[in-house]
Amino acid sequence: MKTKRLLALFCSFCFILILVALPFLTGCAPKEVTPPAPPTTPAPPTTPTPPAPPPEILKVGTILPLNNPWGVEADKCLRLLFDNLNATGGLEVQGKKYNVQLITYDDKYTLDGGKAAAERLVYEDKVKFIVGPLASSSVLGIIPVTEAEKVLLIHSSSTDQAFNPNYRYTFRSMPAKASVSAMYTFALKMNPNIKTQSIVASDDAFGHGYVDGGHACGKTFGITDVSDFFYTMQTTDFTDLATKAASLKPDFIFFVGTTGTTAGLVMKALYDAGWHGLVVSGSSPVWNEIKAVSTPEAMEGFCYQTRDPTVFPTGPAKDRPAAVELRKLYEAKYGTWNGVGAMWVNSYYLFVEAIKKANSLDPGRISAILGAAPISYPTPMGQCTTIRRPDIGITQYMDCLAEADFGVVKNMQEAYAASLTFEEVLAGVEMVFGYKGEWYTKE
Amino acid sequence: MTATLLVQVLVNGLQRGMIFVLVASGLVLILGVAKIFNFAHGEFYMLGAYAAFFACCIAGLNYALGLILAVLAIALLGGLTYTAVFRHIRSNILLGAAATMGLSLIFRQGALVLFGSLQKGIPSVFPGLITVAGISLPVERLVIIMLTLLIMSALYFVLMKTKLGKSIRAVMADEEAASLQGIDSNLIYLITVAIGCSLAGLAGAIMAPVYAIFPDMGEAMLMIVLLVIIVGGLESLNGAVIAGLAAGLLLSFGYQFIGVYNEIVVFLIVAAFLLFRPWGLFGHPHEAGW
Repeated sequence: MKTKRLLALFCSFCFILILVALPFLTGCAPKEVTPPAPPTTPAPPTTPTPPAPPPEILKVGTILPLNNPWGVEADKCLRLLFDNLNATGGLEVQGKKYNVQLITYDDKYTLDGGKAAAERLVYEDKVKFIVGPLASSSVLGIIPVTEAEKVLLIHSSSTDQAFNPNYRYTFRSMPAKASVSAMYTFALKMNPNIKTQSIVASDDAFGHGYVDGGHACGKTFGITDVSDFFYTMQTTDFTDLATKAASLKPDFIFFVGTTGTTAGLVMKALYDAGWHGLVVSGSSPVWNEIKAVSTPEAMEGFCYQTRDPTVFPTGPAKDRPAAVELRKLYEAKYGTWNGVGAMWVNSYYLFVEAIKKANSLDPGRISAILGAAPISYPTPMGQCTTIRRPDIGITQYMDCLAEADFGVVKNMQEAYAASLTFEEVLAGVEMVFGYKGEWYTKE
Repeated sequence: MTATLLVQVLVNGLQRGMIFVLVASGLVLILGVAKIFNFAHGEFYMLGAYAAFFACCIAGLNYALGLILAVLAIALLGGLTYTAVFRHIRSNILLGAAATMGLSLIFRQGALVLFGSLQKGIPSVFPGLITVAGISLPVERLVIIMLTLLIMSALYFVLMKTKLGKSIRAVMADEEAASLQGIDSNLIYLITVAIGCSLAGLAGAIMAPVYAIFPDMGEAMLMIVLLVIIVGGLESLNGAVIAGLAAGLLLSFGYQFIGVYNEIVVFLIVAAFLLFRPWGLFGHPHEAGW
């Protein structure tokens, strides 16, 4: 009898709970996206003229980790930029107009995923251009396909394994390992007494590339390595790592993060472990993610290189028109700007600049022009310039460097701290990696 | 190792261990009473975290209320899962394992589709540090230790001192004899599964403000909890408590000495148990097929 009453009580309780839970469930259902209104047809001209031929379609592929916030935001921003390009007349090559059709495939941040996506783009979709891959592991899967099939690849990964003197069609549009020196120049500006360091990085080609750069910088600037810490992509518990890092008491921690959540969790764990020293990150903070997992006290003083100078109330945004334009486009379509995509769209700008310069859609010709001489192109992070890589035997202009803007967190707000010009960044690279005068020759 | 580091690592290890204890206790209850090896247990942990997230960050409720709602929601889900799935496959351990593995996939992929792959988080509820004898400790972790201690004490009280607890233990010891005494074993199974799942959900909801929330978060938890119950004894709550705490401390102290290889030590210990004492610390040889 008693058990039946208990069962009845349980059932009534369940029913009430379902009623309570219903509004939450409807609240978390995916929101319907209203399709954009079809473009209005312009009024026909009063005098009959032969209609201009419709622009041809140029297929461009992108391969991104859509299981990661970086990939999702990069896809959104690349799409916005190509749509904007199409809306403003498209690409013009030898007097002919082309509208770009962007095809995105997911690489799941893996080498196999990158390879499969590249094969699909090249063999099924017949694309001749791939822009924007950002995951180092994925890029290493893409390159064998694109090099063999003479497809132009402009990626944003950070691994130096993506360079090879025999490659002809592979270019990087995002400053990576070589630009680490800029972060150290900034760190030393913040604290000239840095003598020891720890590096916290993701345990992948991306993280190891930055750690190599960090070690080289440490050697140049007289900073002793205390210890390096690696974490896997899925790590969310940084307690042990932070406790150990804090106990070693380095003067400075160079943090190589993969998402805003990671940065927030690492900073919180370091704070919980009693660490209150200087942390400089190679990635812009992603505030909606950081605020969700970290606290203002933990984030105070967090220093970083930003890829989105529009976040600063004062500072260099006025000199970064690409950043301002991208933000405007993003806010018009998605509302709140989170700045993540600004990190990953350099490939778009280099691609457009290269096509303009080559005035051709032949990947061979474009690659030859890209490799032969430096190209300077505007990006949200400032003016980017292609460079050689004498330190790893790359004599063509296949990598790049950019101006650098730095910020510091104060009261959970981003405050502008400093900027370095291209020349200053290049000087830092030459100081750390040597080969003075071989990275870049002014045209 | 300095005294500061020692205390910090001890607190970290205890906090982590207490969470293992909560999740492992749920798994042991379900296995011991309903004889179901619940491979979807990690997903109840994950869903508990999401439930707390929706209650606190979407509905704007305060954390305590969110925690209670999350526990109730996961208890309900556990009850429904028992009624819809477990009840029909309860006597067949292999079928049960296959079904719960399927459930695990369904819950995980469902979470991926419904909530997306991007990590979510609840802002820290107890931010800040407390300094004891010159050693700074995070308030959040101390609160978690105390809260889980309270919950485990309550569970112990329910199991040992209440009629429901006695019924659960009776069914656990001998289902037929319990039925002859007028205990509705089916109802006890349902309640036990609901309690077991809600313990995992509660652990998820407690950890939601500490770590990030994502669809795969239950996978790693299930892995470590499986190791915990192998060492502790498959159907022993005492074993789950001792082994859970030991695992937490071992992982935390291990990291300080051997870094990321600390998990290998845990696996080696489990391997040693499987070789020399497969029924675990507090289990019985018949549970391990001896």
